[in-house]
Amino acid sequence: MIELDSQLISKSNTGNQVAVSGNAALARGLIESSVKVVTSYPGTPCAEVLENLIPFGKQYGIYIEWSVNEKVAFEVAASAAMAGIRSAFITKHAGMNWASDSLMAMSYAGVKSGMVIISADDPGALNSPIEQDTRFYARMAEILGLDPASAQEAKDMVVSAFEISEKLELPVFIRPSNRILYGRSSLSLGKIQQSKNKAEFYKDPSRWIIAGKNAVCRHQWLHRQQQQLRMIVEQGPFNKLEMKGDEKYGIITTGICYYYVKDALQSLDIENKIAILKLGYFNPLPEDMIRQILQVVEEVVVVEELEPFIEEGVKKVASELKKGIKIFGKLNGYFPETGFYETEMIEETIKKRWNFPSKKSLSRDTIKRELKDLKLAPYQQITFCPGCPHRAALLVLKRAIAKIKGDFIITTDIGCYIIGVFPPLSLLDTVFCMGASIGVACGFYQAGLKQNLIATIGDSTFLHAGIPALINCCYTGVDILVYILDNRTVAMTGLQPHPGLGLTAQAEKTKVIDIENIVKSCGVDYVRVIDQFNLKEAEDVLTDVLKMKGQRVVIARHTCAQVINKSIEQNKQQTRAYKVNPEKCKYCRRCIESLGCPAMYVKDNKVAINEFLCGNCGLCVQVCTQGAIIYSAREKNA
Amino acid sequence: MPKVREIILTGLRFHGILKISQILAQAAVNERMDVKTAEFTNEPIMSIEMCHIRFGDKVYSPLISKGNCEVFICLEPVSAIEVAADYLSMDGLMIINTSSTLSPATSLEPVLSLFDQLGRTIKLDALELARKAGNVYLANFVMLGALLGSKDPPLKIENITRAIKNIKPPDEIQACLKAIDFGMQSVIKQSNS
Ligand code: SF4
Ligand code: SF4
Repeated sequence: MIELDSQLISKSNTGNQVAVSGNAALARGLIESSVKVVTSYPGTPCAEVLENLIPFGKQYGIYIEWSVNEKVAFEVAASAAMAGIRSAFITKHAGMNWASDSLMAMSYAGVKSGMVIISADDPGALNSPIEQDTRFYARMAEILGLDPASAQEAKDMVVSAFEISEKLELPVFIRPSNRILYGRSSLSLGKIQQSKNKAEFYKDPSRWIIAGKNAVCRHQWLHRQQQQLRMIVEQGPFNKLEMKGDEKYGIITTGICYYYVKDALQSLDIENKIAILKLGYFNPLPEDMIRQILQVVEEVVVVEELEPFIEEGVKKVASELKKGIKIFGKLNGYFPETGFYETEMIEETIKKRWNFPSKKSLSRDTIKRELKDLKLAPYQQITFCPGCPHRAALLVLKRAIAKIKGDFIITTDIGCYIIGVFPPLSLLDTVFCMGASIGVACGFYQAGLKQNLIATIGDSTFLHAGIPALINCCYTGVDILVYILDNRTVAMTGLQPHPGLGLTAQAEKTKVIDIENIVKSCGVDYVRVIDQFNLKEAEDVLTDVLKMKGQRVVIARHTCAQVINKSIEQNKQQTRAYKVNPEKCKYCRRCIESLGCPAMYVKDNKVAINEFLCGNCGLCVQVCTQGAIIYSAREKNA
Repeated sequence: MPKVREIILTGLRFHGILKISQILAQAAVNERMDVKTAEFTNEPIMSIEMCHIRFGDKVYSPLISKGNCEVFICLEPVSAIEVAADYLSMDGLMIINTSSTLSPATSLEPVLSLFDQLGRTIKLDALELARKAGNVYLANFVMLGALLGSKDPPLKIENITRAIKNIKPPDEIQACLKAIDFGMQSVIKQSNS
């Protein structure tokens, strides 16, 4: 869990220096801009923008919502801004795909008050399933796009974006990346503005009915706005040209890569020899700025993570200059087209391309070889938390499958349960994106595959994207078991609530949207709720259900171990942990091998349990045939 | 260009290294320095976390380049040795918690001796000291204390204390300070003997 900086950004005054994460800096930017409606669906690496905002949302009169999915979240924020209230929509890259449908139509209509879209990208897929470049959405929607190089810039861009958005009546797109969001830096705080905007909706069919002729008219309006956008990107404060005018070589870069470039040049001791253009705006591209540097240098290196978005633009500008400038980047293999960047990689390319001597090259190869001999690899394994309900749910499924000796394909979805793909469970066959488990199973069925189909999906994921797919199953008569792993939270992104829990983002009581009732009304043939920690009973239910035909849903309901830990911590409860009685342990290793619980280890040819890690779930007790695992008191967790 | 201090912290999630990075970053700002950190985490799955911390007059990138890390602090030696071999500078210092969670069974000796081959080391049993200070979840503060007790500590203890007061509830501050003190004393004792 990332440590939150709410205290620092809410209490400190204008001009103060604090060290906060990029996510907190964005949250501070929203407060300074006097935003009133903020929506999102939990997704890393940017879930912490809302997490940082929530504790003092009320104090600043901000309505904060974890919506059921990103499409709805976008619509809530956009329409608030249409009604004259400043709003923000925060999403991770993949969530932008969901919201894009609404974005395309609503950018024709525009907004009345400021609206900011923050879409976090994840080069290297460090904190999410895929790496995708969401800058293309700003280009498609023809709206202003900004790329911050630091937390400070991220905050300042939010403030500036609201002003521009309000002036041009268009949403503004900010695309921060993982390295800024998950990391702290010095931030100097700005003034918190007071908003005088009032909610009002002006009826105007020519603007708000985006269809037919209106759509074309509004599209023309959007194109007319481009003129102003082009001026803003050339003159705005977030580009930086560091050039004396006699440089032979230049670098064009954007976002966090700007600082990698700075470090690389410093390390090579050539800081004054290379011109740098750092772009803060990517849509529309500041072509005049690019022209300025290209007119001076003979060769230019383009440094950006993910797609060659800027590089392609630079190529276009260069071709118009008729000067024969050499451009080096991803397109001609000088930089990787995937993954995240680091200083060393940039240093290496610059050194090689322009023949600068390197200062250091020391390595510890012998030690690295010895390390390989030690075989440390198994420790790197990813496993479920101790006490995780998914471990139990997938274990009973695995046992039930083994019992009926059937042939199965198991599709899964986005959530902690994808860990079930690793040993010892090794159970899952496909994972793509939100809701795809059920849709993919439908396609396998229609393709005529002989295997039985199981789709596993989480509670929040089901509400987000699973419902239409389940309706589709029932409508088209797919034989399927949908196994809903209901851990009562959005776990992977930091334990956020969802509509099934009766709690709002701001921790107020609300209606519980009952998953079981939804499932029933989708038209399924069978539905049953189980507690998977009751191994025997859960296994029996699943064994029966696997033999049936039709659309069957089993909901395995048990709270996430991290949620339980959090409440124990908050209430300063005394807890207990399990312990192995070495007298009784026959060292059959059944428990360790079937569960892969990180709290269990081997000591002196006996199994032992790490009392700090044990999640107190009792699973191992049920797996042990010797009665060797017993309860014991645990130290206080203060 | 004046020197930038470069520190790496690693540990398992329950060790809470990100809390320490938060405190170091705020303490650096309290000393009017520029600071950037990069946090590698895969929350909330049981996994290894790493944090790069850089502070000084002017800091560009949050990432430390391989071979540049000046102090490498690890709470889980087994998972950290490879990272240390990559990042530690030739004259760097490693502060190592000797009570491993990942391999309490097998002997840590071969791993610890590899650390010694890499460079200077300070070793302490952070879990044991944390237990003495109140509870095992303070092991991260013990390691912070060890950093402050090392030769040429990068930040002043007053500023660390101020940073802790900013983010910890009042009833927990005393225990944190005690853990820091235990870490410091243990290092000072080692360098005297
Ligand atoms: S966070 Fe919760 S659901 Fe995710 S692995 Fe841990 S216990 Fe399981
Ligand atoms: S050691 Fe046993 S009781 Fe503790 S978390 Fe692991 S499986 Fe559950």
